[in-house]
Amino acid sequence: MSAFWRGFVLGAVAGAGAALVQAPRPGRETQAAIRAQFDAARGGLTGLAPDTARRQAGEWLERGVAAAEARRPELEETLVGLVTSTARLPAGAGGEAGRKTDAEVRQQVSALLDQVLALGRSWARQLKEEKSGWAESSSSC
Amino acid sequence: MGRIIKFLLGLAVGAGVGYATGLLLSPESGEENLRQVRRRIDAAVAEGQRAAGERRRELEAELARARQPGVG
Repeated sequence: MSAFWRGFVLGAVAGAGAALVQAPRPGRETQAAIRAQFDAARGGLTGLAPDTARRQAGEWLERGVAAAEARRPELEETLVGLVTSTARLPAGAGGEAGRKTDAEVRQQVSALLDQVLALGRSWARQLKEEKSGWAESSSSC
Repeated sequence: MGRIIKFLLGLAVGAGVGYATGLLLSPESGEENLRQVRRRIDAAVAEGQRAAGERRRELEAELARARQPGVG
């Protein structure tokens, strides 16, 4: 056994002994306290913020999503242009010259936009809901 | 790196790991742990004393029998 591991074992025994003597509360309670802190950190903003602030955030998010939806064709066009001009996409099923066709790109961009907007809508709804907490709904998935 | 340095490094790391593990797995608070250990030691000592007394009485009885005239 190398010197490191000899020291490790000795230190571990001494450390565990000291901990058992100094422990402020049963280990199960220490674990629960740590878990609670993590939960609080995850729930953080919405957990601490008053309901009005949370609803306001939801309202703004909803307005943003609505604005994006109103200008969706424009947005989609910009994104498609961005993707086709910059990204070298891997060969798709229908791509003839090793590149995806414009229709494929448009379809993918559209699907992605759908997902993003749906996610934004669902977040906005969760934030605006009176009782259901953000932490509970996000930790369940 | 010298052996002593390695040893000390292991000691420090081991102490940290051991301390954290002890805190997380401690059956009760430190005070209560100590109380239980003390109780167990007390019980063991008491049991030892009781057994010693018993054995002493046995030996004394045996000695008395051995000293009785006409026996042995």
